Formats: sequence, C-alpha cells, structure tokens
Amino acid sequence: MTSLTSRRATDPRCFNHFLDPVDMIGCFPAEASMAEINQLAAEHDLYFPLACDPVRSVREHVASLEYAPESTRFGPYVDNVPGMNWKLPGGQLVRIGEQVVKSTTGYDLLRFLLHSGERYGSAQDYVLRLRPLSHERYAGIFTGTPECLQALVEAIVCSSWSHWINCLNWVVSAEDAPFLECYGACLTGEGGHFIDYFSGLAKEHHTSFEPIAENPICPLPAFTIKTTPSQALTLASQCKEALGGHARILSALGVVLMYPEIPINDKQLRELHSRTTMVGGHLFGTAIQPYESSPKETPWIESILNDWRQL
Amino acid sequence: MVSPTPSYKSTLQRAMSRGQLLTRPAQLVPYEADGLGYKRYPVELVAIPADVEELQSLLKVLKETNAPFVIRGAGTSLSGGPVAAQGGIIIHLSKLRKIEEINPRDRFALVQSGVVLNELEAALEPHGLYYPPDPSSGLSCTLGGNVATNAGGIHCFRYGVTGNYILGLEAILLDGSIVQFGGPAGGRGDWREDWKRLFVGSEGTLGVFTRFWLRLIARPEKVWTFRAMYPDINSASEAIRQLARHPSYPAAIEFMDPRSIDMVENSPMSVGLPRNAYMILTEIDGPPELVDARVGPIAQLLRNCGSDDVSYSDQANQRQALWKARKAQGGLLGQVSPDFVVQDAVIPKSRLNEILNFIYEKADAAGIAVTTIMHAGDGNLHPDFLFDQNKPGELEKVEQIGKELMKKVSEIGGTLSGEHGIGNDKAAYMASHLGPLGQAIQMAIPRPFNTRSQLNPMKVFPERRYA
Repeated sequence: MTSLTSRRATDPRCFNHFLDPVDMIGCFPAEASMAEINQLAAEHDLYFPLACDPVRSVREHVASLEYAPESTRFGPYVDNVPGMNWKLPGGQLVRIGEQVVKSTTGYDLLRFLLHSGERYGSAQDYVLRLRPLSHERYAGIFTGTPECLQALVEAIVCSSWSHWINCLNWVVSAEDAPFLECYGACLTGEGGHFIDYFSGLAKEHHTSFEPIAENPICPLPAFTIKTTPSQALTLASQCKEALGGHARILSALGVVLMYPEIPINDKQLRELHSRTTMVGGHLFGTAIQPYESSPKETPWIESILNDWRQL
Repeated sequence: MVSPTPSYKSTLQRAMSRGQLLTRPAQLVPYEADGLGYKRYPVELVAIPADVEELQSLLKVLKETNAPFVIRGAGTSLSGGPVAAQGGIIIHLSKLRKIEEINPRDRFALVQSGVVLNELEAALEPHGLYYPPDPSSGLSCTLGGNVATNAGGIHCFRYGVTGNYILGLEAILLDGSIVQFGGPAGGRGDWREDWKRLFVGSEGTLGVFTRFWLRLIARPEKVWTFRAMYPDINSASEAIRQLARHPSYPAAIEFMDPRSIDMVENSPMSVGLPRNAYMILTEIDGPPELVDARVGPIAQLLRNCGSDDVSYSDQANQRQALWKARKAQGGLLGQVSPDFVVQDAVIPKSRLNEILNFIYEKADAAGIAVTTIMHAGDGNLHPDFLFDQNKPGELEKVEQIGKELMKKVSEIGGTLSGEHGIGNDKAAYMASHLGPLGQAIQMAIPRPFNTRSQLNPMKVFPERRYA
C-alpha cells in the first residue's frame, strides 16, 4: 500500500480510506502492514504507536495482542481504534464507530468486537488514532536485584514522569536475571532530562542504568496475560520456568507478553486461566483458544448473533 | 405511559425495609427532570434502596409491578438520561456512596456507583493518585452516571474518557443476578466476551451498576495554564490544530467563542476579556524538568498563530483566574436565561469554522441566543442555546436547530455525542446517523439483557418502548 485508495463500500456509511492530519486519524485496510501505515503517517509527522512488527498487518496485530509496548503511554488497542468497517456473519459490510476520536453515540460495539475473534464477523478496515511523531528518542536498560528494580518501577509509575514514558518493561529470560528496559520519545532537546532522571533514580535505588542507542525489538507475542501489576512479574517468571523462552511485562499495566519456547499445555493453561481470572484478568493471543462461553453469557451471545444473522 | 399494577407500591414496600420510598408530589418534583430542567416527566414513585442487597431485592420484584423504571445518580445528565420518559419508577442510588478500597500498589479504586466524583478526587489526593475524567458537574455527579454515559471532561484530550479508566464493573441484571465484568486486573475475567466494554456508556439500559474498579494514575506534578485571545476564528482554529499536534501533548485545549465571552463579561463574573475575541485555554503538565522548558515554546506557538494577548502561569490562584471565564460559563447559562440546552457533538476539527457559522446562522435566523464552547483538542463542541419555554414556539425552534445541527454534524463526519450520551433528547437522531443496518445491529444489544425495555425505556433509541 503506497497511497490511500478511495473505496466505496456496500453501506454508504462505511469509511473510505483516508488520513486526516488535523484530527490525527486515518482509515486503513486491515491487511495494511504497520510499515505501510507508518510510512503514510510519517509524511504528516505522525505515527501509529501500537506497532510491534513492521511487516505484520493491523489485523495480525489485533489478533495477537490487545496491548503493545507503547500502550504504557497510549493505552490499549481499543482506545486507539475509533472505528472499523466490519463484515457481519451474513456478509454485509457495516460501519462500526466513528472517524472522530471521541464518541458516546450508541452502544460501544467497537470495543466489544475488536478482539472478539471471528464469531461476530471480521474487520475489513480500521480507523486508527495517530500521534505526533517526536524526532528525539531515549532508551536504556536498568539492571539490579529484582527487589531494587521493583522499587524503582514503583517510583517511576508513581511519578508524573510515568505519563511521558512510552515503555517500561520487565524482561524475563532464561539467560539473564530480570532487567528493565525503558524507552520513549520526547521533544527535541529533552532526551538529556530523561537520561538524568533515570540515572539519578538508578543510583537512588541501588541499580544501574545504561543508555542504549536503539529501542529493543518487540515482536508479536504468542500470547498475552492481562493481570494486576503486582501479580505480573511472578506469573511471567513461572511461565518462563515452565515454557522456556522469554517474557516482556508492561509493568505499569500488568500486561505480560509471552514468547515461550514450547507450547502451553492444557493443564498449564487452566492453571494460568484460573489465576488471572481470579483478579479480573484474562489470557489472549493466537496461541490461546478463545474461552468457551460461560452458561450465563451463552444466551446473550446467541441472541445477538441471531439478530445479526437475520439482517 | 404505562400504568403500574395497582398493588405496585406494596410490592415495592415488601422488597424494601431499610431504604426509602418517596411518593408525595413535592418529593417527586426534583426527579422529573435532568440537569437541564426544561423537559419534565412525571414520576410515580422514587425508591432509594439502602444498600446493594436491598437494590437486588427491589429489582427482583420490579417485574411484577408492570412499571418501567430508571436508575438515577445525581441527575446531572444533559441529554435526558435519568428521567422517566415513559413514566414509572425512579431508583435513586444515593445510598451507594462508599469508597471501598484505594489500592496504591495496583493503582485502582473500588467504589460504589453512587460515589460523587469530587469526593473520589479528594480521597485520592493524599495518595498522589489521579482519576482524570472530569465532567464539569464533578461537585455533584456520581460515578454511576459517569460510567453510564462514558463521561469526558476538560482533561480528556490527553488522559481519555471514563471508559479508559474502567478496569471492572459489577452490575445487577434484570433477572436479579449480580455479575462482575473484569476487576482489578482490567481484563475480561472469566467471560468469553468483553461485556464490560459494552456496559460502559450503555446509558442504564443493560443493567444497574453497583461497583466499579477504576484505574488510577500518578497525579501530574506541575501544571501550566495558558490563555490566548484571538481576533478571528481562523487564527484560533490554527492554534487548536497546532496545539493538538504538539508533542508536548497538552492535557486540555479549550475554546470559547465571542458570544460566550460576551455573556461572561456582561455578568458579575467579568474578568476583563476583550470583546469580539476567541479564547483558547490550554494546559501542559508533567515533571517540572520537562514542563518548565515547554512553557516558552507553547507561548510562542500561541503567539505565532495570531494572538497578541497570551497569559500563563503555574501558580494555583493565577491559573484559577485564567480559567475563571471558562468555568463561569456553564453556571451563567441558568442565570441569564430561563431555559437552556447544552448540545454535545464531535466534529472533525478542520470543520470548526463551517459548523460555527452554521450554528450562528440558524440561531440568529430563529432569534435564539447561542454561546459555544468546545473541548477543542478532540473536536467536542458544546453549543448552548438559550430560550424561554414559556414563550410560544421557542422550544420548538431550539429543537429544530438541534435537529439540523445533528444532521450537519453527521454529514461532515462527526458524531451526535462526545460525552453526554444520547439519552432521550437525541434518540430521534440515531436512525439517520447510523443508517438502517447500523441501527439494527445496535438494537440487538439490549435485547438479551432488557428484552421488554422495562429498564430505562426510550433512551438511546426511541423504539425502545416498554409495553
């Protein structure tokens, strides 16, 4: 995709492909790669912050994860996708959501459908919220004992610096002791303030901070655990022990991106499911089968689907 | 109107031993309208359950009463949300006011749905925690109403709206069962689907909220407020565009038109603003090391867009003075006019000039006074139409302008509501905004939860009538 195509959908209300640099919003085909989208956005000094793998499409991202590393600053996918063209199970294309960033018009089908799999149909196009592109970036690694690093994380997320940090991730792997990676974008000339802040904080918490040149690469995970911030590190460490590979934890959000060496088995899945749902969390991703509907929600789902099938 | 069964009062009394039932006409009057007050809907009875347990008992017997019922918090809605549009019973959740937990470690608060927003804010401050949604009715509005309408506010441009902060919610369904969607972790919990997302902003039509798990963030350490005056709409619009795209991510970008400024300046709340000018207010916040260095560039941006009147401060009293005209605007509406409508729409920011002219033309032609403010960062426009419903034809004129405005907003790619919800007042516009297919898929949502529309009928869609 090198340019936005003008496309008329079957429902005249469906979104055409567009990019509005004033409202920092654009509609892109579901199959567009993140690199293509960000190339178009960059022409207007904008970017879509929730991209992990530049060659993978928006659809693949939405199927794989609900939170990307930059969700620490910009929120989950559901808060960054204001609209979709959605193909219903019967084949009709319908507009869901809006092309403005704020709406309380009707039921929020968008957030309900976005990560629902294909039970209710599938997205054909996504309206994405874009953000201003900053030209200066900062990145670094904190190392130290887990206790000291945990205290450091608490200090950052409890300060108003946390609003300006794009990623603050624990990295848990077989090779190294857990460490923290931290990166983001800032106004030109501000990078030094961040490095000074992180260096001072590292000293205060008996840890080390090493600036790095490039943001760490964070591919699409096999699955994601959404839990509480306080439970995330323990769960990630236990998963890593059982499954090998590594995990990245979005420390402020309690989101664990898992990259296991071996597939998770049913018993492990049940146990993990139980521990996350207990605190109102869940598991998500291409390596996880969608949950079975609970007896309570089955008739709700059937009612909605029946109505939609009859359209 | 639907008439309750003759024995409905005794049925409700059976379910409530500790709460209150209000039946005297003088007690019911305050419940007949929402925050706007110009449309009144008679109420048969108001039930104030003492706690969640009693609320659950009440809901279990409501089916026997043959009465529609509406859940109400503080009643500050501006879209006809918590009114008895089809008559019947109002359930007032004023007793569910407990802040049950503030958890600094996992940064969430567990609150009951009747907690007043500013009371939560006061409770969070000592912990250094912040819950950003800040509708202007914060002094009295309740979190239940905020979640029901997915309320926004001044600082939502950067921080987001209520729905961005709901980790979980507990609700009682019409079958009397209590469900919990999500929780402290903010996920789906043990459900296949994300029902929480569907219930937020559902305007009291799917179930009755009892508790919320709210996501909290760190309080901004330092805030700078800027006020800039512009001689014309083009320069003010350019300032909005540049601020919204500035990588300092202003927390708020607010707009006031000259007619709003005139209203303030003609009142005892006058602050000495120039007439015939457009006002932009913006705030940046963060750690002092970052925000202090951003003050110069933001002030210069405001000047470069055409303002020779830029003021700014980081001092609390001076910041309040900069905000004074904007904060006074809402309160003055009720002082200068017997009745008013606060409209709510979101427009593409590039169409601001066109929409303002449209509003002025329609209002002037009808002889209706209008002032316009806007949460400009996200294009959330609030034209306020002033009228006197005792003057024949004035209400009809205001409603006609509202109808034409919503049609225009839809045509230019905007939406009918940014933060007030659809309620009863805008339900009639949904069909043309959504189209037949869009409306049909929306109408499927309340059916499994509220099949006969007994709960909050005629809201969101006029077809949702209890019969």
